[in-house]
Formats: sequence, C-alpha cells, structure tokens
Amino acid sequence: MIRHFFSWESRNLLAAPWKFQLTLLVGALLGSVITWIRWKKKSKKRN
Amino acid sequence: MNSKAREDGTGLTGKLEEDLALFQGKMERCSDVEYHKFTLQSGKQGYLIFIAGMTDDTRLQMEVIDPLSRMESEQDLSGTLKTAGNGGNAKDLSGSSSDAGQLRTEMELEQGLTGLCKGDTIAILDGCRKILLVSLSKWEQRSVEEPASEPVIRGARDGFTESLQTNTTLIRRRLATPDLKVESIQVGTLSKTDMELVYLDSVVMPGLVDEVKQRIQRIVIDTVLESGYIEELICDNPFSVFPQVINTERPDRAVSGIVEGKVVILVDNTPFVLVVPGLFVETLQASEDYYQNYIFSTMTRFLRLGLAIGALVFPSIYIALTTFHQEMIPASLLLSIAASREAVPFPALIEAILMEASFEGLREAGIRLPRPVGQAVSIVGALVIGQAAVQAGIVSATLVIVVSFTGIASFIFPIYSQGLAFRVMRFPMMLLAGSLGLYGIFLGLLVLLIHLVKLRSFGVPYLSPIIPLQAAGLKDVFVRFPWWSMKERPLQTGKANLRRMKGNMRPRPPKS
Amino acid sequence: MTQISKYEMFALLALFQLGTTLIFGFSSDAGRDAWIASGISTLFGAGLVLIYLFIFKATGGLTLVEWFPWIFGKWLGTPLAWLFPLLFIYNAARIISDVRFLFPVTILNRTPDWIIGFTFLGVVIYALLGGIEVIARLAGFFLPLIYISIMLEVTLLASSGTFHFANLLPVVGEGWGRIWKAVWPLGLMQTFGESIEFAIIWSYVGQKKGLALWTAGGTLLAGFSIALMDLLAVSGLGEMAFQQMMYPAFALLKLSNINYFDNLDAIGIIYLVVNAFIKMSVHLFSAAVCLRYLIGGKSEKPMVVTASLMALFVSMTMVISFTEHLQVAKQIIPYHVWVPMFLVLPGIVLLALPVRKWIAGLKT
Repeated sequence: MIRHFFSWESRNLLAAPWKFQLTLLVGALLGSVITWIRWKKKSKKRN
Repeated sequence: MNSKAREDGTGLTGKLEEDLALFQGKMERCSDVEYHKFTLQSGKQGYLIFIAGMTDDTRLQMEVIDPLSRMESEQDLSGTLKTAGNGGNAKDLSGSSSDAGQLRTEMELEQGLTGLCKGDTIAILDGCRKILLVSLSKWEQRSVEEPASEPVIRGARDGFTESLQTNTTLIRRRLATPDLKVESIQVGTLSKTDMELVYLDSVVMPGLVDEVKQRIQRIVIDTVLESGYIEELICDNPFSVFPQVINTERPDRAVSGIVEGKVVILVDNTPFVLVVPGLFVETLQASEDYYQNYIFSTMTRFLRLGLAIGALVFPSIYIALTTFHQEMIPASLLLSIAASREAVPFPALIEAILMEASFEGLREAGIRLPRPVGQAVSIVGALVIGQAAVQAGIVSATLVIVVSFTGIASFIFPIYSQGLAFRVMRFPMMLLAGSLGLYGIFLGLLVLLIHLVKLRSFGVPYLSPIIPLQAAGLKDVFVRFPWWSMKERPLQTGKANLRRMKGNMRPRPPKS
Repeated sequence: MTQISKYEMFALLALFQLGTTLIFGFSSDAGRDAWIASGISTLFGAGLVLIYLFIFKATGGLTLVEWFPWIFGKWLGTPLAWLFPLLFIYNAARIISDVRFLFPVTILNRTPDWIIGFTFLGVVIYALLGGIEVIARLAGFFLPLIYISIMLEVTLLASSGTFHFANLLPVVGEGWGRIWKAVWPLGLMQTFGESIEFAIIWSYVGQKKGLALWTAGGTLLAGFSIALMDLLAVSGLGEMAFQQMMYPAFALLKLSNINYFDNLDAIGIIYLVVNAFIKMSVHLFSAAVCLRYLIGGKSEKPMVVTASLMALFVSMTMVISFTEHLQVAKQIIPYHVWVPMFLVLPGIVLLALPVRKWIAGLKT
C-alpha cells in the first residue's frame, strides 16, 4: 500500500502512533550525526 | 603650473591667433558659437567667445564690450587679470573691466569650454594665458506658473519651473533662515546637470544628507534629463513598483518635507523635485489638507484611503464574486448582475481585463493626442465604452460602473506616481481573483503588504508610522489633527529636532 | 540582528494562539461548556507559557534548541534538540493541510487543493525571507484589524438575533468530567503548548524588560477571545451542532442574515488567511532557526526554504481524509507527541536547571 507509506499519514497515525514517534526519533538521530560532524569540523578549524 | 598646462596642451599659448584656433578647433561645427573681436585702446587685441542665445546680449554690450574698448592701457587689463589669476579677489577685476555679476579665470582649456557650454562668456587676450569667464548667462525660460500635475483650490499657486535658480528661490522665500542649506552637486558626464540638496541643518534626519550625497555621487551617467533618472538611481529597492521617492511640483510641499527633516533634491531642467525619504502615507496626503479645515481634511483622507483600496481591488472583487462566490451577493443584486451579464459572451475575468485595458488605453491616448483631437477621441471613447459596448452585449452594464469607478478612484492620489503603482497592481490582482477568487485577492493583498513592510526608503520603513506602529505619528495619517495639536515633527524623520511649536497653542475665547 | 518590539511579540503571540482554532472551534468536546474549558485552559496555558519564559530567562536567554545541549551535553542533548525542528515542520505541514482542505470546502469548490497549498506556502516563504521582523510587523498590524472585525461580526450577529443564550444552560450540567477532559491535554497543548516556539522568538525581542507581562497578556487575550467565540458559537448553533460541525465559527458566520450581508464568509476568510499565515510563519521560522543552529550556517534563508519544502512534502503526503486529519489532532498528537515534547522535556529541563547550577557550583 503505497498510500500508507509515510508514518505521518493520518491513517497511520491513528493506527500506530509509535511509528510517527519512531520516525521523529530516527530523524533526530540522523540530524544529530550531521550536527556532530559539523561541530567537529568547526572545532578543528578553531584549532 | 602655467608652463605645465602649456606643455600638456591643455592650456593656452598666449598667442591670440593660436588660442583662437584652439577654441575654434574644439568648437568646430558649432555654428551657435560666436567670436567677437575687440581691441583695447592700446591696440592690443582679444576675443570674446560666447554661445548665441545663452548670453544676455544687452548686458554683454554694456558691461563687457564697452568697458573693454574704453580701457586705456594694456597694463590695466593684464595687471588685473594677473591679480585674479594669482588668487586675488575677482572684484578687483570687475572694478576695472566690467560690472558683470560673476567673473573667474581658468587655466585649463577644458574648464573654459565647460563654462562656455553652460552659458558663460569667455574673454581671451593676446599675450595672456588665462581664460576669463564672465557669467552673463540668460536664456528663455518659462515663468512661474500653477503646477499642472498638482492643482489645489486653497493654497499657493506657484510651481517649480525648469530653472534651478528659480526653484531654489521659491524654497528660500519660504524659509528665510541661514539654517537652510543648499548644497550643489553635478551629475552627468555630458549633460553636467546641476543638482542641489536642500535641507534644514538643525532639523534634518541624522545621517541622511551624507547618505543622499553618497548615493548621488555613485552615479556615473552621461545625461540626466529629468529627476526621474535620479529617482531610479538612488532608491532602496529598484524592483519595486511603489515610489520610494516623492516627486512634486509644489514648493509648499517640498518645504513641508524640509521642515519635517527630509532632504529635497532639486534637479536642473525639470520642475519635478525629489523629496527623500518618501513614505507611503505621504502619497495620500495633499498639501491642501493642511490649509483646509481639519475635520473636512480628515473626511477627505478616509475617502482617499477607501478609494485607493477600491482602485486596487474593486474590479477583482467583481470578478471573484461573479465567478466564484455568487452566494455572497445579496439575492436581488445577484439577479440584476446576472441579467446584465446574460448576453455577455466572455467570462468575467476576460470582460474586466478588456474593459480595464481599453480604459487605460483611452487615458493614455488622452494624454498623447494633440489637443484639438483629444476632445473628439474622449467623446468617441466614452460613447464606445460606455454605451455601445453594453448595448452590443460585449460587456455588462455593471462592469462599466465598476470600471468607471475604478478609473476615477485611481486619480485620487495626490502623488501621481503612487496612482501609477496602484494602476499596475490592479491587473495582477484581477488575474488572482479570476483564478483563486476571494482567496486569491487576500493572498495578493498579503503579498503586497509583505512587500510594503519589507520596503524602506533611506532606512525609514515605507509604511511607518502604521507599520511599525508609532501612535504619535498617527496624528497625521488617517486623521489630520488640528495644527495646534501637532506639536511635534514626525518621529521617523524629525528625531533631531522634534518640537515644532510651543505647547498650548489652542485658541480660546478670552476670559471676561 | 533584527529586533522586534514587545508589542509586536505580543501581537505575534496572540495571533499565533488564536491560530486556526478560531475556525475549528476549541474544546468542542466539552459541549456547551466549551467556553469554561477554554477559560480554564487559558489560565493553565498562561502558566505554561510563563514556565517556558522562566526557563528562557534562567538559561540566560538561550533559545529552545540550545537548552538541551547546554543541559544534557553534546551526546544526549543534540538528538533531543533535533526533535523540535522536525515537530515544527510537522506542525507547519498540518496548517498547510488545514488550509488545503478548508478553502475548497468553504469557498472555492472547484480549485485543486495543491494549488492552494502551493500559493499559500509561497507567500509564507516570501515573508520569511524578509526575516522575523516582517512577520512581527505584520502581526502588529493584523491584531487590531482582527479584533475590529471580531467586534463587527459579533455586533452584526447580535443584531440579527442569532444568539440564544438559553443554549448555554445548564452551566456545567453534565459535571466537570468532560470539561477536564477537554482541558487536558488537548486544550492545554493545542496553541498554548505550541507556544514553546516563542522560546526562539523571545531572543529577537530588543527590550526584554517586562517581557513576562506582555507574554501573559498576549496569552490571556487570545485565550479569552477563544472562550468568547466558543460561547457565541454554542449560543448561536446549539450544543449538538457545535459539536458536530467541522468549523463552527464558519457556520456561525453563515447564520447572519442582515439586509445586505447574506453571510460574512469574507470575514471568515480573513481570519483564516491571517491566522494560518502567522501560525505557519512562526512554525517555519522556528524550525529554520533550530536547523540553522544545529546544522550551522550564517543565514536563515536557505533553512527557511528547506523547512518549507519539507513541510510541503509532509503535507502533500499526509492527508487522505479531512475527518481523519482532525481526529489525529484530537486523539493522537496531543497524547503521543505534544505532551512528551511540550511538557515532559521542558519539565526535565526545569528540574535540571538547579542540578546544573549545583554541579557548576561544585566545579568552581
């Protein structure tokens, strides 16, 4: 069912809210990786 | 310096015939240049060079040619010429040679030529390397008349003219104070147009004069034919349709700007002067508002604001309502609109754009057409658009009302250029209304508002004092407060010297 | 840095909290006592917003995203901080969906919803590229306008005899149970919990003195206006209709029938456009500021565009039916997302503040 692929679809949210929470968390973790890399680069530049 | 100039070939040689040839070479194929030979009593010869029509002939004869020919010895002239060249007072020279108003000497040929082109008379003498410039310029010019673009019922009838000097005088006569500064700037590599920045030193917005000067000095352009060139070259957002610089033909309006802490830019050869910074609310204020009864002026202002909004959205609302939201129209009105639209083959959007475009065309033609034809065309146009088109069933009668109302409404702006902006923006609004209905209209208005909020004129927010809100500034926006209560200058430009009158000026009956 | 005035922040906050609730109805689960529920929510909401402000001040003016790395360190704090921009983007996407569904249903019957979503987002991006200053100034201009039109609307409706205050009786007839249910968590979280985004906006306010007063004032103004609208909607429509209508306020506008105002839809559109515009701008701006801080960068502009496009994508893939969309807002999001993020996380931060101070004290 391609129509219910995304966890933020209302039907998915109604059926399984944890999927949305999981997506948020995974997204946050992925984002953090970017942040950590960028901050590392920045601190290197300062040194 | 003398010899250096000669070596460069930029100065005179001192031999009369060679120098004359130099001028004639430069002014080759300029048939308006006249060369007048004169001989001093000592037998020494010289030439007067001037442009016919730019010099006051009678004064030239009386104040230059006659004294020169009466001059007794060559020592007199060369001696005084020398003093002037060595930095002596020019008055010394005028005392002996002429009574001409302004005298100066130049070493460089190029500067002499510039002076010549601006109307000065040049005198050269055998054995002398200096160029004597006598300012006797005079040319035909329009007298001070009532401004055609901003007529009033109550108020001064004089308007700016094409002459820079006259314009400065018109301002100076209204502000008789040494505080009024008139700074001169020249722009244009070919036109060498004189411009003047006029402001009150103690009132002007801090930093404004420098900013204006900086922006004007940035300009490198060959000619400046009108102040519109300058307006477009110094404004903050060059991509905006709204006038960020106010232009006016009225001296009283310019002076009121100066008194509020603004800078007025006078440009030679145009009656339109620029007032910076220009704000949106000013384009809805007529100078007459301040001369008439304030209650009436307030009513007029509300009327103007309403009509301004009408000029912008009235046709769009007609389109949106008839196309998308018929249910919003009261039933009886809907019936009459539907009846009038019955025979019309076009959708409302096409119908309205057709009519608006032909109205704009009619108006444009009305300006361009030769006077005698204009009358005929406007009658034909009115008949064609007003009557025949409706009877032929091409447009509906309701739309004719809408279009003519809009047409009148777009004329209410005291500043003509703001009216132009609204006339332009009407068309995108109509397209939005035709595609997205009322939602489109609100979206369009929102975009316009965002644009206006972003806009600044010389650092002052364009919509101030409405956005950002300054409660004190609102005394002169929608409502025109009586003069005795407008004790302060507008905050955004008059910060340097806020107070403009003593408190408690309200007239009261004497206590008996 | 651009700065906004306290009045502009006040207007922004009030309009943000009015939001689309003005159209959708607030605490409608409490039936005819919705206005009581709204009032109670407002009081608690004001407290909640003041707690956010307290944390903001206690951290020395750090914005929302900076709280977590500051308190929990790099490794735990960063992922927690990342949750917020993602949620804000989701919230913005919900507003786009609201707009996409409301217009075709109410006034534009034949227009495809994606055109409406696109154009609306385009306008928001255009405004946001001018910075928070533009949004704040617009809010300062819109606020009086909205209140004038609310007053106009109420007067018109009242003069047409739409209100029947008997509909409100009996007050608290079915007990406090359903009132509390409406207050917690939806009433508190919707709008008031979302105001956590102002922990970012506050850092742009030039004069921070008296911020608490303006903030509380804005919240109370918005909250009590919502309560008033609920009161009027119930008295106009009756309890049953109020609960079943998707947009009670819109329905209310359609009730008026005074001479030449067959209905006041136009006012409804103004409410919706203005409030949705302000709310979405604040969502997207907050998301952009968070992203800029987390990814690193000088300007918010690319982040604004990124966040907007993400929100558009989420919105376009979000909704299958509008009833489900509303159901999510009422049953899922408040419990599963808003409570943990708007209440639990800031609560932990609040508790951790003295601990951190204590640790910092030990080190020195």
